[in-house]
Amino acid sequence: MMSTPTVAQLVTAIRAQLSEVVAPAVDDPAAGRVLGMVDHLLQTIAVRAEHEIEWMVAHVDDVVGLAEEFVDGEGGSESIALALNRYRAEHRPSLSTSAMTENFALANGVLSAILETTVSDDGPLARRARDLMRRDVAHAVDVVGDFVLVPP
Amino acid sequence: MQSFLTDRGVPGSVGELIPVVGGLSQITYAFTVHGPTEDRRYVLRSDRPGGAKLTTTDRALEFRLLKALNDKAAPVPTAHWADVDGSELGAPALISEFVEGQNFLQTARAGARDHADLADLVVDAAVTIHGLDCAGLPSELGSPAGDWNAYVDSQIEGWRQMEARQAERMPVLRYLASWLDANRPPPVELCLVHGEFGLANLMLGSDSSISVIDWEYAHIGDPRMDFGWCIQRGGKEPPNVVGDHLERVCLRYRELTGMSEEAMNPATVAYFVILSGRNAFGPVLDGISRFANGQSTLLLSAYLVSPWSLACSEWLRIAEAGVGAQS
Repeated sequence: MMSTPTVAQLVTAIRAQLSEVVAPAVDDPAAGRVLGMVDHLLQTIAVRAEHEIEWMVAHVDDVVGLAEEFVDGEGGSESIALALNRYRAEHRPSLSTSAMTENFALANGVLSAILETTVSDDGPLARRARDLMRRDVAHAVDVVGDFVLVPP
Repeated sequence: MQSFLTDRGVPGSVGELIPVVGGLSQITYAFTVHGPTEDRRYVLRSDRPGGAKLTTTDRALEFRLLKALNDKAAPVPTAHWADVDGSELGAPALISEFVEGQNFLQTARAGARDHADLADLVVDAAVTIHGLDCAGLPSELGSPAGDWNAYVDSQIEGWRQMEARQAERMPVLRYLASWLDANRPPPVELCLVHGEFGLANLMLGSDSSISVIDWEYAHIGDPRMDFGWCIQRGGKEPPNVVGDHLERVCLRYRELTGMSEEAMNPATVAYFVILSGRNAFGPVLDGISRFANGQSTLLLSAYLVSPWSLACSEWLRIAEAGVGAQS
C-alpha cells in the first residue's frame, strides 16, 4: 500500500474542491447547509485521522496505570476494581481503529469509576484522574477546531 | 395543509409556505391563508419525518400547554390547531399564530437595541413566565408543590441515565453528574420553566411586546434553569446577552421577584448552565448514539458531536471554576 497522500491531505483536498467548486454552484439553502455540515465533518475527520490512535493509546495506558495504582493502594474501590477487571478481560491487543475504540471505551469505564469515587477528593491520584479527563476533553475540542453552528 | 384547514372550517387558500431556519429539533414553516376578507399568517411546528427525527418531545403536550398559557393571557403565540398523531399532516404538528417582529438574537445582532436593555427584557420575560400560576397546566410538566431536592435529584439522575444509555462510556458526564450532586445551590420555589429559553425563542414586537415561542422543553422546575440555558445557548450563538450582563440580570431578577442574592447570583446561575444542558443536549447525544450503533445515518447527529464536545468542555470549565455551592 501507499501511505501517502495521508488521510488528512486527502480530506483537505476534498474540502477545497467542495468549497471552491461545489459550494458556489449550490443555490438551494438547505443543500448549502448540508454542505456546511459535510465540510465541518471532513475537518474533524482530518484531525482524527492524524491523532486519534495516538490519543487513544496514550489515554488507555494512562488510565489503566492510574487504576492499578488505585487498586493497589488505599484509594481503591469495588467499582474501580470491577471496571479494571472488565478492561483486563475484554481489551483487544490490536491497534486497529475498531479494537482501539473498544479499548478506549473500556478504559473510560475505568476512568468514570475513579472520577465518581474521587469527586470530593483532592489527593494526587484524584487530581491525576481529573487531569486525564481534562486532556481527553481537550482532545475532543481539538477535533472540533473552528466551529460555527450551521442550522439544519 | 389545505385540506387540514378546510376540514376545520378555515376559509381561503394556503400560500407562501416558507421554512423558518434556526431550530435544531422541529421543522418550522411560516405560511399565509388568503381568506375571503383578510390574509392571516401562521406558523407550523412539526416533528421531522421518520428517521430524521432528532428529539422525542411531544407536539400534543406542547399544544395543550400553549392552549393553557393562552387561557392565562401569557406572552405566547395563540395556538390554533394540532395534528397530534401526524395522520393528516405527515408528522405530529401544531399550528399557531405567526408572531410579527424579530427574535432577540436577530435584534441583538442587528444592533437594533442596546444589549443591556435586551438583557433587561429577557429578565422581564422570565419573571412573567416564572410567575405564572401553574394551575391548569398539563400534569405531565410536574408540580410546583414538589420538593426542590427531589427535582434536582431527578435532573442529576437524568444525567446519569443519559450517560448510561450511550454507545460508549463518557467520564466527563459521570464526573459532572457527581459534581452537580455535591455542589447544589440554595433551593428556591419551583415554577413553570421554559426549558429552551434562548434569545432565538424570544420574539420582540415593534411595540416592544414580548412573545415566547417553542415550548417543547417546558416543565415545572427551578427558574434558574432558564438563565443557565440562555447563557449556554448564547455561547454557541453570540452575542451572549445574558452571560455578558449576568450581574445586572441577577440583580434585576432579584428586584422583580424578591429572590435572595444567596440564591440568585452569577455563581448559582452557572450551576444551572451545566444542569440545564441535559434537556436539550440529551436528545442530541441519543441521536449520536443511534448513529454510532448503526440505527441511524442522520448526518445532523454526526455533525452535532462538535457542539456536544464544546458544551462538555464549557461545563467542565464552569465546574472547575468552583461555582455552584454557595450554601
